[in-house]
Amino acid sequence: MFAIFKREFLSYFRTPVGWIAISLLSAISGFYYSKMISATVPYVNISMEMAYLRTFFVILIPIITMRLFAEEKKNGTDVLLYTMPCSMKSAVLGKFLAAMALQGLMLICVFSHIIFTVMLSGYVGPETWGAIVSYLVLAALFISIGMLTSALTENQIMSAVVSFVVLFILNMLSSIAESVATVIKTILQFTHLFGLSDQTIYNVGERVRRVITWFDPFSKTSCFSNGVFKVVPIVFCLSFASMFIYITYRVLEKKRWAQS
Amino acid sequence: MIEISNLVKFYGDKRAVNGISFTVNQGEILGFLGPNGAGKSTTMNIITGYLSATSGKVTINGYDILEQPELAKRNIGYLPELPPLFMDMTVIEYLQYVAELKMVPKGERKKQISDIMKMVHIGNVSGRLIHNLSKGYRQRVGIAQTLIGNPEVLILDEPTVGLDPNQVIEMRKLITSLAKTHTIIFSSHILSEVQAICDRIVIINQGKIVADAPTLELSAKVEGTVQYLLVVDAPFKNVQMQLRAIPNVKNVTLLAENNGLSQIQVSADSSLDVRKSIFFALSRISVPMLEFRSLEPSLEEVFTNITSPKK
Repeated sequence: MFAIFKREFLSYFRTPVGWIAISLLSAISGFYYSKMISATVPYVNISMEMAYLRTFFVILIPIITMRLFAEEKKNGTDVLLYTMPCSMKSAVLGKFLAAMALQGLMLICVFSHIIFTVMLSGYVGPETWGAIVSYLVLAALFISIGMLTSALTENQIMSAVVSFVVLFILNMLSSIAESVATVIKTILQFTHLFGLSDQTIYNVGERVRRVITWFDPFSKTSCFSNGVFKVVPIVFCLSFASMFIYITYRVLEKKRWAQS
Repeated sequence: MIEISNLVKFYGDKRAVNGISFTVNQGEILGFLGPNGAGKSTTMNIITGYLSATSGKVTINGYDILEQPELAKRNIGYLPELPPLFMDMTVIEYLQYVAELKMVPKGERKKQISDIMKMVHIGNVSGRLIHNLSKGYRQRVGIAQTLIGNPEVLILDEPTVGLDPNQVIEMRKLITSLAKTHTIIFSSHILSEVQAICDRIVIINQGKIVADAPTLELSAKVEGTVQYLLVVDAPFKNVQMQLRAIPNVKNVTLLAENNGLSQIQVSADSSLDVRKSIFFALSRISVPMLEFRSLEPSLEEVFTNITSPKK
């Protein structure tokens, strides 16, 4: 597993991908931080900077994950993964951890900002650490999704587009939930389909909205940015990530048995 | 030692591999011959564990490829048709990566890699990106990759395709030298190549084994008739009768005729060498011979020779 992790991690820096991703994130966070610090030091809130950075996941993570398996399949190097004595499980985990490590490395500039803030006697509190935790668990979830799309196709661009769409939908989930609920309420109100009272219709709409937002990883982890640590969001993100990692493993194993 | 029994692989409704069984003994080079699309690569992919068979069993040194994959795979070095090379790595980085995957103990890696690089003559390009290497060098890096971890079994899928003639000869030499210490399956669609290297030949066509015999035995079968190509400086009608009159010559056909030169194909029984007779027959009537060489039987001819009952 370590061999695959090492190769994958270093290959980010053999191609421009790793450099671009890190410099892009540094530029964005630096811009945001300098804007905050030019106001007044005591009001610098690193967790807001992190929340801002998270909105770029939707672009950055597909770029990081698109090549994980798609490129190997295209170049025929996936033969090595299948015919070497290491198991496919360790290959999948190694690649996942490599992408996670790159994502972690991107936090370097954020750490420098924390140090600056402390040096300028600003305030760094639990919400900063909370933001870092939520950043990492969200990254784990999204990387596992991106890795799955990469395992499904031979085409890197295709993989990037699909994971971009999925992450974009996840990003918009709370507003999607809102509009779905509204549509259902409106339909029930105007068609009198089941002869429900206004109160029940409102309750149904609420239910639907809450069911959909339950899946929203952003609103789930938002408590961390306020310095509130909860176990549920961590379990939520990591268990979904494990599920996607497992599906990736199954997809790759399936190829052996495929009849086409 | 490789044992394969009753391999079947379906692709949809199509049987790509249809009940193939054979055994390769320790230290043997087995030539795996068949036209394109016969199921050579599929079989090799199944042997190495890249694909799984629909039914059937493969054991490598006694380990089942599906039940004990990690032990079985340690004993295999596999060179697929397209060598699995990372274009963004240097040769040495790549070989180190493969050594790590093959779980070569850390202390031995360096020595093993430098030994192998010497053996396949890639020491001079060790620091170069694989992307910048020529086809021949890439193929050699591919071979180097199979040798890492000292596997007993080497599976080489058309290792000479796309190489220039010198490189082909070198590759053959390399494979013959490896045969002393390895069990090798070597696939090709060129008969002469397999004849030159292998102890035993398995021929498959449409997913089935057509022939499985020692090289010498098979060569005798194939060479029931031999073909020669002649270019003479005379019209065909002038030489036709003389050539036909030679005993053992079965057939004489004109392939092309222009500027007074005729290109003629002569097929003869292999039991008696007719080359001298051809030479004297032509010299007697003072026809200069510009070219005289034997022709390779095509795979199709081989199949018909092998499968049809002896005449």
